[in-house]
Amino acid sequence: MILADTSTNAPQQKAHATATQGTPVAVTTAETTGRQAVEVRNLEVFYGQHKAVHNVSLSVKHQEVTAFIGPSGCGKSTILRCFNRMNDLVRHCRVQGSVKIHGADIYARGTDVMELRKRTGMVFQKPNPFPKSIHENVAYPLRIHGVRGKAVIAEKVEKSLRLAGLWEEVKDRLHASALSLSGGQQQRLCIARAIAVDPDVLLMDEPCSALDPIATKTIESLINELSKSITIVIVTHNMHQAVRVAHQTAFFYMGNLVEAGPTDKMFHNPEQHQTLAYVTGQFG
Amino acid sequence: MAAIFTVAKQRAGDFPVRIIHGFCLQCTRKMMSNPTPRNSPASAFSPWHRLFRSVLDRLTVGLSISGVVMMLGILLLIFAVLLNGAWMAIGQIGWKFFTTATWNPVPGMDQYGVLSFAYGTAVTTIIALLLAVPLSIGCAVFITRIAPQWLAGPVSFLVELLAAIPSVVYGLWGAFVMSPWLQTHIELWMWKATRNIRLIPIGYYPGHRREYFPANLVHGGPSGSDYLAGGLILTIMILPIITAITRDVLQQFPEELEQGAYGLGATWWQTTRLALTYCRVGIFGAAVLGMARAIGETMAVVMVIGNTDRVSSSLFAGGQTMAGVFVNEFLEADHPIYLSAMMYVALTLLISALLTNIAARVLLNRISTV
Amino acid sequence: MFKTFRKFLMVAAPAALLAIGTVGTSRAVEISGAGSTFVAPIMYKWIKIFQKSHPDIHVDYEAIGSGGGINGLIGKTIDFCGSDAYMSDAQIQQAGGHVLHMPEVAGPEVMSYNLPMVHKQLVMNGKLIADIYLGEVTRWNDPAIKKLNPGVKLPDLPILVAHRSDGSGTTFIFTGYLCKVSPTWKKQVGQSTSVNWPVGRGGKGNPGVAALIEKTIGGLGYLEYAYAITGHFPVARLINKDGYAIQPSMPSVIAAQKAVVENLPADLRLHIINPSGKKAYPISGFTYLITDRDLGYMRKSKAKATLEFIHWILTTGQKYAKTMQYIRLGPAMQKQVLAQLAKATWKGHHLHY
Repeated sequence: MILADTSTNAPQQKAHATATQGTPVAVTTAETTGRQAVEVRNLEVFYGQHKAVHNVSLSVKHQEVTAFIGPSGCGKSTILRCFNRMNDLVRHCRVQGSVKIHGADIYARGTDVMELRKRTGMVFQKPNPFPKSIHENVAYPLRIHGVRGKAVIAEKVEKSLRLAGLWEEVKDRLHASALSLSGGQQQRLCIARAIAVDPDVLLMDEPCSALDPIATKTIESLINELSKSITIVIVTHNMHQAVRVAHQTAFFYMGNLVEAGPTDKMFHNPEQHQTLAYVTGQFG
Repeated sequence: MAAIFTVAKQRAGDFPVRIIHGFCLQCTRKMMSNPTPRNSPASAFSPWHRLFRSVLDRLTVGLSISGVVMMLGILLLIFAVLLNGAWMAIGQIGWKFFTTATWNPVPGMDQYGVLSFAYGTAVTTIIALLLAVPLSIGCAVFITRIAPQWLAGPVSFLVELLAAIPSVVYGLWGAFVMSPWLQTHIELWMWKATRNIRLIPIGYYPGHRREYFPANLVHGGPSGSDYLAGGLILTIMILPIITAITRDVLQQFPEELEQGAYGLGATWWQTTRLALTYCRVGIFGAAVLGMARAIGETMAVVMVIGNTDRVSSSLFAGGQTMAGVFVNEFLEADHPIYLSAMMYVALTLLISALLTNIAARVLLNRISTV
Repeated sequence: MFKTFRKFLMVAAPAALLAIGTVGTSRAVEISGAGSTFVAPIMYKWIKIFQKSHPDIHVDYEAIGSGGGINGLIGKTIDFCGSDAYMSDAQIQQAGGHVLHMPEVAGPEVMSYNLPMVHKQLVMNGKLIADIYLGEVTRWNDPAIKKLNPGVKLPDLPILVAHRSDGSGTTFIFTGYLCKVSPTWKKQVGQSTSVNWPVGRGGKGNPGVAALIEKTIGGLGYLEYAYAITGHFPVARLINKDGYAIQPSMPSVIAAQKAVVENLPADLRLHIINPSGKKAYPISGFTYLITDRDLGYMRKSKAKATLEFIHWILTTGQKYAKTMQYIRLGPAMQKQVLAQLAKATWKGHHLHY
């Protein structure tokens, strides 16, 4: 029934041992020739004794927008947070399986987690600018990754703010507090902050859920713009948003990947009846 | 009392129904159907309930105002009593009180100056803050961000336990345990390391023409009863309060910011630094509270500071603090000008404490703006 | 404000007592004293024993310091004061002009030192002590110390001088002694409960000074006899006025009392400083009970109880001094003090107690 779910019979083994067992569900269709940005094989996540993600395998295509949808508690955020190992920070959280970003296994021993997080920027549900000036917020990741020199930093800050579509609004008050911005502006600042160090992948965890419709629209067009140069994975509750921004969509339910494919197909002609039920609003 | 406070809350607009419940059933029932009494027409309330509310409101306001007046009144009264007591000394000694380091209470010789005591208070407080603030921050970071839960609790409790020890116990421990140890270990080592290093011509030691930093800091050799000992005992005493408050404000560091920093690839240390920057106002406030305690501390300091009225740039020299001279000599201040000079010291202490607090407040405003 | 409160108490308390008296209930007379902390341990013992034989009198003593006791006497908030220093003329004037000073026990002061390598007891004299406290003799192998201690191998160490930092009767007696033996001291420093010390470090109370001496080899300081004996601190023998090296002890202090008793001042305000005699120890003071000469400001029964308590201390109470490491009054001295007590009156009348 459910393609990716082999949890009922898959023995709990180490990541690489199980790598060949699961059947990967490619987000990209077989005929796509583009590179895979993220490849997930047999991912399982435990919180203590509780298994939150069951043997998920999927791939995310390079320089496209992929949406993760599903009802609350379906594990979509948890999977997203495996891509930059944010789950390491959660006590009693254990991850099995493999996650490769551009071919490199990020759970391999000796992975530089800080470098990984630099390459996979993250934007959170609630705008979380630091209580610093607008300029310092964008400069922060540059500084912690060792970029020095006032001019270099100023140039990068401007570039990021322009990319995030915020430059025209804040260029005259770069040294004002970031907290003086509106919610939508703050979220765009957080995006600017995340892309300041040129990440390959941008992870967005329900980036618009705390914003009003107009701010949401601005962010969505920004996502379209950014996807030209960056791979984006976005977790969203809002199915319309997935339709508007995502090239590919993956639907999760109760820790399992139910179905994944091009967004159009997922919303109009899904293969699983659970997907159909969810996208037509019968549950969720 | 609780009712008064909740009604005050009601004015601010939260939980309008709960408070009145039990006082006026009629109204409660009405409000059940109309839970926004603030915007509802006055007819929603029974007349006696309105009366009850206005009386309570007035009582609350009256109580708050009288509290403020009482606080101000007490401060003014203390000030007036000290000024009155010090009046004679102010008249006879005047400004010279602040430039004289000698304190000679022998009847007929009477010579009174607060300089050496003010200097002692400043030096010991600065030493205490320089040592206690980083230590406390380290301790608070350990409790909130490093220690596992089973360890954080007990460590936290132990630190708070330090605050409950009476200051005279610290004093006796300081005099019989810390001071000898300080003298034969730390001070001996400091002395050996720096006594012959003369870099910058700066410093003062009574009876010596020229002093050089850093040798001037150890002039006189290890004694164990000196500014350093005074500063150290204060460090131990203000550690718990600064640690406790710093721990509390660090716990307020929002999860989102923590995640945000880690998400950008910040290391543990970089994230901790961000948290400390975020909490700087609270930590500064903790340091100010610690400083206030250090300035006012008496018994513990008196037991270890050496109690002499000399000014010296050596950390190994004996000294005295303003609060210390008070606890030492006030009871036996047996002639009028002596007693009046003691009051003058107390007045100086009060005013300098006020000034430091104001300065701290100004600084606080400056650092709290992003 | 405080004064008004005191006045209120002074008016209200006797009034309340009177009211109780008129309804006929018999009630213990309460007398209260305050002052010297030095005398407090034996005072508490005295009170405990006295009350066994005098259940109708309740005595209360607060060890708030001699100065505080004297202030209490001036303000008439207490019935008797314990003080290590006698009252100055100015204080007596403030208290109304007529007070009685009654020495109760004597307190010698000892020079204690910390030289573990020296096994023989050191000998010192007044001039040497003054020079050390003036900062003129600074090392233990100074010729002045060697001269007084022939055959003792003295170390080449600095003398770490300790003194009291709190104002105290002990310091008053000690500086009084230094004034008497050193004109320089008298001119430069003088005598008081706390002085401007030329050298040294201060410690609060006997424990504070003891801590300073104990801590460093080469430490030297003055302590109250009782404290030094209880703590087994090494003490020096002192050379007295007639050139004898005297060990601080009960006989030597009683001998010192005997030496001064011949020419006592009429009001008994004195310290036993540098007396003559073969056996007299040079530095001791009396600690005093001080009352108004006329107790007319209190009720008759209270005045009677106060005088009775003092009389008991001066006679029966003396025998408890030794176990508490205080020095009792010598017989000759005791006679003089009792004569002083006999001068006390109540509204001009002598009372029988």
